[in-house]
Amino acid sequence: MLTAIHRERLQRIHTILVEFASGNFLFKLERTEMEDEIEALVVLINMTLEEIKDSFLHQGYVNLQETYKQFIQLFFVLNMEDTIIAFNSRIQQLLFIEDKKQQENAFSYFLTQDSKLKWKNFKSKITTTKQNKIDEFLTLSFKTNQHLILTTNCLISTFLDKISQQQRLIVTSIEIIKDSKERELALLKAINLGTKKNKVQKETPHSSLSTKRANLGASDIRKIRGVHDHIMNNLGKPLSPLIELAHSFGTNEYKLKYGFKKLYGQTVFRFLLHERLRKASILIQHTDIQLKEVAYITGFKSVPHFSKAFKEKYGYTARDLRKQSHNDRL
Amino acid sequence: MKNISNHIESEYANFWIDGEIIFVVYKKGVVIDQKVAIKIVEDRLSLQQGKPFLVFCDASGIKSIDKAARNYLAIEGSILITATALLVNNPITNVMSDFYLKTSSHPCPIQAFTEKKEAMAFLKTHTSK
Repeated sequence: MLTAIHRERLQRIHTILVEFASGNFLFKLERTEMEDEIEALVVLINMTLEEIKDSFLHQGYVNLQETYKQFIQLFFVLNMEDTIIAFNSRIQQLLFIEDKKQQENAFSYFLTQDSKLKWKNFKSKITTTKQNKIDEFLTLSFKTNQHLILTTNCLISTFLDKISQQQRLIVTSIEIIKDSKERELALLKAINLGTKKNKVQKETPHSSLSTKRANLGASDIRKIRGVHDHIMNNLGKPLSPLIELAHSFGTNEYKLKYGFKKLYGQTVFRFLLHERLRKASILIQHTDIQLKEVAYITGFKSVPHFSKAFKEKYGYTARDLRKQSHNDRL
Repeated sequence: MKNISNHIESEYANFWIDGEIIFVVYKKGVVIDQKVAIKIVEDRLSLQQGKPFLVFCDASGIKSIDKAARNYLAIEGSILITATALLVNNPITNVMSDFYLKTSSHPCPIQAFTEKKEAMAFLKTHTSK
């Protein structure tokens, strides 16, 4: 027989699984001090959610080595007549608003037809129900003056402006990114190439995400992961030429080159260099191993090559890092 | 009494070296995020003084570990380690070690055990002598 407390714990597990099934990965289960099988299940669910959330966000396949950050994407303050009172500067960039006149447009001006209707219905609902406090999510599609569409899940809230004694609306959306710079560059590249990427799409009815993907099967992915693990396990040794590496893992050079970039976001050799430097950085910070020895154990052929690559990646020299870490330890 | 050299005690774990093995014993109820993971790796490396070691890690005190910490421990945390034996002895750390071993890639041999004797026997197979 389950005690009431266990039943409640199981109930929470059911609730989160339902949230999870409906695509909400924001929540986690609260931990207790218990160490039983139910608690183990809670741990497993929390960790699985973390992994799955990140794999949904990753633009390629499962991302194993990064975590993400949240940023405000859109932020509008409106009055009840839809006039835009304030917005964040990012909006100008995202919606490509350059001219001042456009900024004076009503909020719905920036929405697609479908979203205009959705917005109108939402507005009439809040005015008729006369709720004091509103906090509701609404997926809205914004269009840019280049006829691109940005679909995003917005949080709509109301508040009372104490100075004017009037109701105001706030529209916010959060964007989750791996590395802002990387994403911005990818976006710029995508826009230059004229391809539709990410959430920004050409305005066509029922348009779907249609980013081109490498035609990689499950076995290709497994082989490329094998190459990844091989690199990680042999950072100190010279890496065979790509063609040999590909053949020893049962794939071809093209698939390895293309697939690796897709899966890990960088070329094989760039990845190798970054991982070597990452290891070197830890050895410099936390051990007294001489710098030339660090260069050697992380697979660099010469100290000048190591020093140059290190400075390029981190912006400071290996010597400076050692000095700083040494001072911190004293 | 064994000849135990060098010992570090932090808020999160105890570390000491005995022969070719570095012992890492997590304290009860430790919550590991990336900041804690960095500190753990830092303490371990400071004891090792640049030499590689086998690691006996008693993980049974860990309460939770997040993804950023798992990533850090699997990569940065494997530096200067020849092999790791994880000791887990309750349902929670069992699940955690299964998850960690399966989802992270590990550059050096790592295995989980419920008995200390078995864990030590595993490490013995990786000694240099």
